[in-house]
Amino acid sequence: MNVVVTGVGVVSAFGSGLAVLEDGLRAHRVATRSGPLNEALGVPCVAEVPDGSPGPDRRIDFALSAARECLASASSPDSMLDADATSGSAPGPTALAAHDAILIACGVERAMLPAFDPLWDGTGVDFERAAGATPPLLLRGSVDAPVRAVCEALGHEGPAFASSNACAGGVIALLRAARWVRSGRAERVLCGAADSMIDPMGLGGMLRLGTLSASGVCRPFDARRDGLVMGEGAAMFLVESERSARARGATVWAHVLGGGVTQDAYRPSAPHPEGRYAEAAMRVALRDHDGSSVDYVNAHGTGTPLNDVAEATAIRRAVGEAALVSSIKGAIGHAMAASGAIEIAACLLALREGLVPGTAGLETVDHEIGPLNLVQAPQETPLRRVLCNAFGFGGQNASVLLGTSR
Amino acid sequence: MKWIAASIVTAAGDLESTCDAVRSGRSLLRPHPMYRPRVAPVSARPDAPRSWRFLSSIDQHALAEARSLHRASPMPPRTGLYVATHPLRADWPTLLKAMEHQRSAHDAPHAHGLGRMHPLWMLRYLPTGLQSLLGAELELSGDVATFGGPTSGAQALAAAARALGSGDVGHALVVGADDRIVPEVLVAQEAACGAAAAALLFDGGLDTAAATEALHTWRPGLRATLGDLGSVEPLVACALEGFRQSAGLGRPPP
Repeated sequence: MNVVVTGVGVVSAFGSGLAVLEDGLRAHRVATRSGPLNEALGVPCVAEVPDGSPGPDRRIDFALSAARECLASASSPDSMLDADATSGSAPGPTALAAHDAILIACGVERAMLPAFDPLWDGTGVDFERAAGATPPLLLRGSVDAPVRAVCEALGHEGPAFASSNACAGGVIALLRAARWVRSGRAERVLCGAADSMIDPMGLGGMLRLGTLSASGVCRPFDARRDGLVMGEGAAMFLVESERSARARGATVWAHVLGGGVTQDAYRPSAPHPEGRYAEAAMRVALRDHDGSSVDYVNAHGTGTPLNDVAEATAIRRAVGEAALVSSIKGAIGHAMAASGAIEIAACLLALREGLVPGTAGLETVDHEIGPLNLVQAPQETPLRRVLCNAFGFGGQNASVLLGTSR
Repeated sequence: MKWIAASIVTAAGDLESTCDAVRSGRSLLRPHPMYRPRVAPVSARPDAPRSWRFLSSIDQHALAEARSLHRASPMPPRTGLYVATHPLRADWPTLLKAMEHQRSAHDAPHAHGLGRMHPLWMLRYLPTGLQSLLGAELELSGDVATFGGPTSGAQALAAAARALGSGDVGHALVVGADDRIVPEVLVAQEAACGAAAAALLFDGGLDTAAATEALHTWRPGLRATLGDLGSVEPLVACALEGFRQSAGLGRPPP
């Protein structure tokens, strides 16, 4: 069974909407900026969603916005999906059918540190006071809050899943959705990822881990790369069978041609140095296709010293040296669990518009990277096959092959 | 509910002891010294090497249970890994040390608090730590997924059933852990709370209907004996049901 993507919605550091992402990538802009939180932590900058919700859990707003745009874009005059119901006000119950499914990679939940202030007596936290607080005191978010919010907004009572696969989550969500459709267990799946770790715990924790760029510039594959810039956002997709899409006259954005999920089985805090299982994930994704048929690879490309060398090695082995390769993390930061999903959206743009995003921040390729057809500035060229990589902290690897046709 | 191997730990002990306790209706719940709900904690600590130190105690138990399966019989080729993580809870012993110096979220929190934490403290905050160490310890490098939230156990079982059903994996290892005996949970509810960790290896004998039936069969007894086991409850129920069937035991009392 052919599985296709028929809807897409995005929230990124460029703003809300796929068109906004396209404009930013086409103009080769960099969306990183500085605010009070990162300055307080001594972090040069972050890639925040502009005009994002000040609410306690921004993941929810990102997920809802992306889901609404996705379903609206998936609608058509003959569609079973209700375009009016997804316009942003109050999505109606017809947005998804009961046998459709929702799967969102949710990243980590947020600890509401300010809420602890009145409970802290200098030696401990008075949780009994928290229990009796009016209004109720929210000490922590819930990891699956975006899933519950989207289900509630869409009136969806069918299967719903919250996955937590770190930075590989967005790609894994799409691949699982494709598996469910292919196996006939779901007619359509609204899938994707939403995440924000731009909070004291998230940003502070990553700072302690030493993964954030001290220079404040994310430079994937560059000789001067020194780490990532924290981003946030969401991207959602509607995945269904090609037969279903054709029957309702939907626009097909891309075919899901293959996918691979592996894990390094190496260390919780570092990728396999030779990218052995990252390569394996790409090879599984390319199981039915020659590596040389890949026109473009959207690399995970974090701008960290360890990731980029390992990934470059893995790409060279699995795909070869001819395919165009770029990373958009220099432009929109690393949106953690949402990163792979946002990058899939960039790949859909690449297939549809022939827009190969540039690698913002890349000036001088590190000699350790080796031969790779890295794209520095955006290019326009027709593409038929694109591969999107997403690798998670702890050794999760996911690759998805998308194409304009089988 | 047919599994190839299963290993759990609860307040009652291992799989056989837990089955005995639930079938006999012998409650292991006891008063908590500070909070209203009665509790049934897992008191033993797992034999955890240093590399596990950034996992919570209950996650260490889950890893130990999975490792015991692996040591008894190495994981077959093409084994997928499906992990149910508990709703993430604060690691208070670590956080309190940081908060002692913390004034507010925007008042140089790093200098006042977070900066005092271990550089790898973040590993405790990430939901994929258990999955990562399971992969390394059990040499599992194939299909993998971690689920989060209060229904993560059911989600992990469903994902495993789908992967087995589609033939994407030959075997599925489902691992989960939850410990509800923490302040944030205890202050918010009246019901008894428990803790458990479980690891189950399946080949083809897993379907969601059977898992649901197992949960309905065992949940009342589990809650009366061990309290609410949260997200890991479906895994414990499946383990018990498989054990009951293989041992030719009767169903637990309603």
